[in-house]
Amino acid sequence: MNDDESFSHLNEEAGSSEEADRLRPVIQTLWAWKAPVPTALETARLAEVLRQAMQARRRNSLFNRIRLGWAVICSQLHVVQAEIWAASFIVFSLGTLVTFGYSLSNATNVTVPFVLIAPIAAAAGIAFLYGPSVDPALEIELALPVSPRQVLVARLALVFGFDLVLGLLGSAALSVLRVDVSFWPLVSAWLSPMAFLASLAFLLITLTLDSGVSILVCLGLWTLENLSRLFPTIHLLFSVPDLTAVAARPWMWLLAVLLSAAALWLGGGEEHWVRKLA
Amino acid sequence: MALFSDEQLALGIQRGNTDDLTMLVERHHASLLGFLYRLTGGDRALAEDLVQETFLRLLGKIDSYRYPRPLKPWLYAIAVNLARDHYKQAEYRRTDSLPAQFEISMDRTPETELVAGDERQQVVAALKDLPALQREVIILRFLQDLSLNEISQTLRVPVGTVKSRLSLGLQRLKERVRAKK
Repeated sequence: MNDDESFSHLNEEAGSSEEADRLRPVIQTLWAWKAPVPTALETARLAEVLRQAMQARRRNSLFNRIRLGWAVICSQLHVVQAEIWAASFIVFSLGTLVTFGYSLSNATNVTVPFVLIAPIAAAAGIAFLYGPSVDPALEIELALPVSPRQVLVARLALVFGFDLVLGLLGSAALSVLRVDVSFWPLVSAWLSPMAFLASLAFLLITLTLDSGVSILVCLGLWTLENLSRLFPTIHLLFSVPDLTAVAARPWMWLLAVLLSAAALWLGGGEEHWVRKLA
Repeated sequence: MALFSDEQLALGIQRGNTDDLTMLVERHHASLLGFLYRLTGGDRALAEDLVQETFLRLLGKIDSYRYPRPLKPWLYAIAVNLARDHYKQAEYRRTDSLPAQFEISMDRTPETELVAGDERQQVVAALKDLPALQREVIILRFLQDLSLNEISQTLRVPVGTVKSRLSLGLQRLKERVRAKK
């Protein structure tokens, strides 16, 4: 900064040129107070310290995110009701056994028992994501380093992931045990309705906070859907779209994403949690 | 004109570019050290610690930086806050009942001994005696050459407040220099 610039500052701040003239010697003397100038070596040393800190931070950041995500999932493993795991396992096992002994002479992939059971079993598991015995006190929930929304995502991923693994194992077993069953066509027949029904159950439990309502709506919809498909001669009061049709699968996925997003948006809010536990 | 602005370097640091970090340090090390040295009343060791802590703090918060927010006021804001925190903690640790003023060591460091002449020492001592808020704006304006807008962003106060602190600070500085003579 040269003297002219500084004195123009001084004229502005002093209010009058007379006052600026009186302050000028003071400011000039202040300038004589020289600050130490770091050497190039000192600057390089500081830059090195910061470079190391930056690299350590980057490593820690990625590691911590993975560790935190894993810790949240593990914590929810203990929180989700134990009956859900057992019930899902029994239902999927029974579905596999029944399908194994089922005559497929007149059936297609979408009418085998396994395809009927898998979506509703997953939806029932998701319907029990919430509950007084599942959720801790609000204060504890909000004091966690992760948001309620992250907890929900972890819980949803855990339950849906468990059902998905059971479904894949059942499908793999059937495709090995029965020559008339192919793995991928069977999986694609149940996967999109399962995603749709599970996300519908998720939204309903978030909105109503009542597992019974969530299960009843999903079961009703799935029953109507299957009745209209398995018994086309039965005349229902209204037409139900075929959720297992190949053409409907992209729409099932889109709906699943939208319903889950809506549920997460609604369920992640603090206000929702206050209302839920009030 | 610099090849990259401070703000562009900040974006590079966000992406993990260590060269941009080095460039930013080289650009601001001397001025930050000078600022903190004067703010701490001539304590070079403390100023060096605070400079390092300032850059570390910036690094820790770099993900929250939003381009094109000016970086320089942010850097100085961190430095000012660190200096304030240091003196607050120092005051908290004190067991005696000395007045709540900056306790500075300008009379004991080799650098301050280099300040030649009685008059200069009187001005520096008068600056030291000013309230911290006024001392900060005077140093930022007249010794660090920050604009009123930059000081306003650094201290997160309106420009009018910066002007009034400057005016009051200069007035007091003049009076104290006169009183010490």
